[in-house]
Amino acid sequence: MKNPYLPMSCVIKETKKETADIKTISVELPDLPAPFDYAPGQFNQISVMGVGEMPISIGSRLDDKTITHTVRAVGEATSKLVELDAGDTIGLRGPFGQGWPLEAAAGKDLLLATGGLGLAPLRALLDLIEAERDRFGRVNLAYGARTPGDMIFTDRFDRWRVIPDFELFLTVDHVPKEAVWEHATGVVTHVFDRLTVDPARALAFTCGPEIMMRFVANSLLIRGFDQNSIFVSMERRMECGMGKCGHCMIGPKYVCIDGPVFSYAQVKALPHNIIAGKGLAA
Amino acid sequence: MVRALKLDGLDILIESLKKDYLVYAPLSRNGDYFFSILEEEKAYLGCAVTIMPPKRILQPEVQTLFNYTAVDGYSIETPPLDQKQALFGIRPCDVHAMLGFDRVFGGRYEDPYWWERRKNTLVVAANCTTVAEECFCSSWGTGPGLDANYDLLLTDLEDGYLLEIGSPAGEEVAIQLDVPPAGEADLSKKARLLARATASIKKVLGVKPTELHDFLAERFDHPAWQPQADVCFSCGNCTITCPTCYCYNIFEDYSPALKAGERRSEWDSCQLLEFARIAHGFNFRRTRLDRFKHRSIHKLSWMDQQYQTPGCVGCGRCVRWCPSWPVRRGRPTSLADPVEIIGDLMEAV
Repeated sequence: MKNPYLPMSCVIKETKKETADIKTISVELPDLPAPFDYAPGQFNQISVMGVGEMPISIGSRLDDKTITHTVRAVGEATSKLVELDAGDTIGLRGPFGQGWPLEAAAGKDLLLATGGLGLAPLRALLDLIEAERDRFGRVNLAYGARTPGDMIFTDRFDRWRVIPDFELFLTVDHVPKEAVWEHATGVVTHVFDRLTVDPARALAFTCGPEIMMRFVANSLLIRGFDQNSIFVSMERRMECGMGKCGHCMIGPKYVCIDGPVFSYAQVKALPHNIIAGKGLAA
Repeated sequence: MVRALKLDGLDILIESLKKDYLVYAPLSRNGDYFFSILEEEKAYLGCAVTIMPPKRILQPEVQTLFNYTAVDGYSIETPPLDQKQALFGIRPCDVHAMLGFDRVFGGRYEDPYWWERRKNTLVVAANCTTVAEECFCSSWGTGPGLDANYDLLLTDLEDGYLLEIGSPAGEEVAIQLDVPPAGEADLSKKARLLARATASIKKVLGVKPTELHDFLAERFDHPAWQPQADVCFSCGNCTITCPTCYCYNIFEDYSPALKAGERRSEWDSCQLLEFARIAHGFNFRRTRLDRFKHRSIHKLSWMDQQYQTPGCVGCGRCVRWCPSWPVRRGRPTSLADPVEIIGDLMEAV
């Protein structure tokens, strides 16, 4: 019987500092019987041996054996992970979960609305849009962060801007005195007046803090998006990633196997979340 | 193949089991009962659920997932799990709970630790011919008698024991016993005793299991939850003693130099404050109310939606071991009692 608890030993090929506390780590996978196959929006369980395991969304595929993960130092394990360098070994098991609904998105306009590190779980999808532009209609990426210095994948912005029928809207909450910023200020919903996707034929994918996703969803519902056309990527404490340990449960749903991507209509029926605002006792 | 034997006593069966299996049985400890390794003591088959369900024998409180050494990458070693063991005297409710664990640890990601132990475990179940005050298995159809999913099944017939055979592994044990087959009279006596036991169960869940999903979904915001949660200590006794509670953590124990270590799993409880807390501190079930509801509804509805197996088997352990009795101001039972929770929610708002 295959043991799904055992991580594969992987070597870090390269690391890149994205912001003060966010790093992108390129990981070389071991030789596998079949290529490591994942869908945009899925995640891996990354181990720093001796410290612990953490669920991290899968970013880009650099070649057959190399994938990226973008991580913020938040807890004990992620803080240790961002300290590692090229040549260090980590453990990896995955991929886990249900990614973005690509079949439903075929031929549709796409709005990607994200905040801060929330862009990371959309990175694999952005790569796919670049590689297979014809699969989707018009694409809008609305990306917000606290300050310009908190934005990730900034080296990619110019490439995205030249994708046909693709608009990039940037906004920050706050511009420090010394910073140069020629884009919008305010929360990410502030750029929604400038969207060029058609709510009647668009899907919206959002990822960020739950309170942000709540405002994104509300704003899109007002603009005519259907609650079955808005998709959110949720985050919860996870241990196993396999629908067994119980930690990531939201009502009857497991974020690890039923999600992390859910439709807004699904989340609305669930307790104990901020997006739909239901069932969190004061 | 002989389907049933009649035993004068249990010794002959126990001695036979001990030859091939490490035998776990309910043993008396200061007036209560625990599943422990049976050596010289007498196994207790009278009416009492053990304090802890036998889940700990198949899914230990703490278990090693693997050991690792980190030199040039790292290498991993998993523990051997080939001990043949017998669960002697496991009750019908606990057998049903074990089948629930089969669902949790099965599916797309099979858990090899569970299944290795499970396949090496002989289930020697015991029907309940008498019941305790807290029992309500008949509401779930999980007792007091067992129809299937055993290797061997005992029923105390008062003048001896009926031993029914449910599998080739059970038969292998039975054929070594050299005792006569049971007669029709023994089988009809068993039916009579189980009917009497069923009739003696006082506790009844107020809503049919098939209707619980809708019942609870409609009452998520019922005012009865708050006063219940107000006297909950969030101690986790209800989940730790529950035979269907399966939640666990994964953690590491390692050498100071991080060159070698062990990854383990340990039982966890959704009633504890940290259960749903994420790395930067936000807690999705910070209040006792949210945790109390999560446990109650998961047991009574969500677990069935997730795994098509009930999250409650009516064993009554949570009823008995919830420490809320003294603060319940004259209520007849404890706060964790599913029958009581459902009863309160049946009150019109």
